[in-house]
Amino acid sequence: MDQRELIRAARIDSDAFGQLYDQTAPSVYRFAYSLVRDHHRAEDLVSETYRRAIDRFPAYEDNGRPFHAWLFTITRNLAIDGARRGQRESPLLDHDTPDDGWLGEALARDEDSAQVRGALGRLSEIHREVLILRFGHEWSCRQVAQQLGKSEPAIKQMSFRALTRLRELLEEDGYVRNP
Amino acid sequence: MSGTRDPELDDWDLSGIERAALSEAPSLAFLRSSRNMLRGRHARANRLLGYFDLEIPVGTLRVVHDGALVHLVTNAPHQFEQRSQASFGFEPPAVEAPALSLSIRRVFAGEERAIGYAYLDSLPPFQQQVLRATARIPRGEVRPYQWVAREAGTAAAVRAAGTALGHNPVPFLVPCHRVVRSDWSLGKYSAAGGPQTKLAVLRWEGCNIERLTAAEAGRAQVVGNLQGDAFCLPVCPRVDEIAPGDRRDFRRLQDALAAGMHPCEHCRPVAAV
Repeated sequence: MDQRELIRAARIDSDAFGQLYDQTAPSVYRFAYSLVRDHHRAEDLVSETYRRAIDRFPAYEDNGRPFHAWLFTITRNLAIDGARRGQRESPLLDHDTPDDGWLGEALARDEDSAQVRGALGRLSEIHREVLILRFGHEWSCRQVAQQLGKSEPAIKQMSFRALTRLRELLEEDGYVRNP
Repeated sequence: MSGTRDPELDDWDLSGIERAALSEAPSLAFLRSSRNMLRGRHARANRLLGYFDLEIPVGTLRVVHDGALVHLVTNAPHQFEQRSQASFGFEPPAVEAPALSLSIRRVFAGEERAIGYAYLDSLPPFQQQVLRATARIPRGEVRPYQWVAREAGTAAAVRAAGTALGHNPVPFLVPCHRVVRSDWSLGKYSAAGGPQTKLAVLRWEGCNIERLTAAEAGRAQVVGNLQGDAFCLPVCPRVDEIAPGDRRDFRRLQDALAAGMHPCEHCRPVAAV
């Protein structure tokens, strides 16, 4: 099913909605994180984005704009509302200057680390989760161990194996590492 | 996660692009739980819920679901229309969900965690916390309301925890029947049949009712084992392992702590064990 059919099906089918979420949520998350630079707030923003999307789904019109662009707009409005309510500083949200270019930039930025993400997607789920939590979200070994129900030494070993595997996959793709 | 960077992370020599890709990625645990929660919300908003009936030894349960999560459980099918209208604004049709039905049976057998199957997102945050804490009580065991309130992060809100449990939309699945009063009497039960149903479900789960009755008669807050210096709630299965000569009852938990005993890691009579 292509995305357009999926969007149509998602109006009346929970499984289709679930698939649509799977396809779009990682990039909505990356966009949310680029706005607030905090994983807890990014998680809240993503959940809130889809809550609002569910309520407004009948209003979504397919006018050639990608579906995730529609979601990005919701995310951005929510982040601006949050910043207006004075929750916290949002360094990347300069909402005093009207900029029409933000959406294009956001969609382009989403492609930046696509190669690494592609390789990440080919790791086992547990390896991916260890790398994301340990190196991405900078959790301590102990926190990762608790979350995944493993010992700390096991997490250390997994981090090493997962990173080695990730670099092997990147090399296979012809990616040149540039520290 | 915190403000200062973990120096150990620098040992791994991540490139800028590797770090960027990892730092902006959502955790799989978040994606999974958020997906189910949103799928449930979508199903409610679009009237896509259905129900099936499940026979258990204490009667028939009517289970309202979205195919993945359970939104309502009732053992009073004759009130189903009224309950549905109040909860959803429509009456869900009969829709079988064999995989979910099997999962629920596994939860009842103590083989899976209930919390992965309950849709709680429409409830106030405090009630969600209370129900999550309740779902951690092992099958065949009970805990007092105070314990649940404390595990939910608000030790003082015992009455509010009781109210939250009284309005549990998914009884039997999230086991509010495993919560008893602090004098170890059974207390109320909001499902049809009241305390009698509560007792019947506990029996079905293999809860040691004699231990519970003895706790109620003994009126101890905690029970110490002089061999090993640990103390338990009197309803803890480990109490059965205490030799009669080694058992010491305490009216107050503080007395057990003052006697130099440490809290049991299984029943966790004190926070942060």
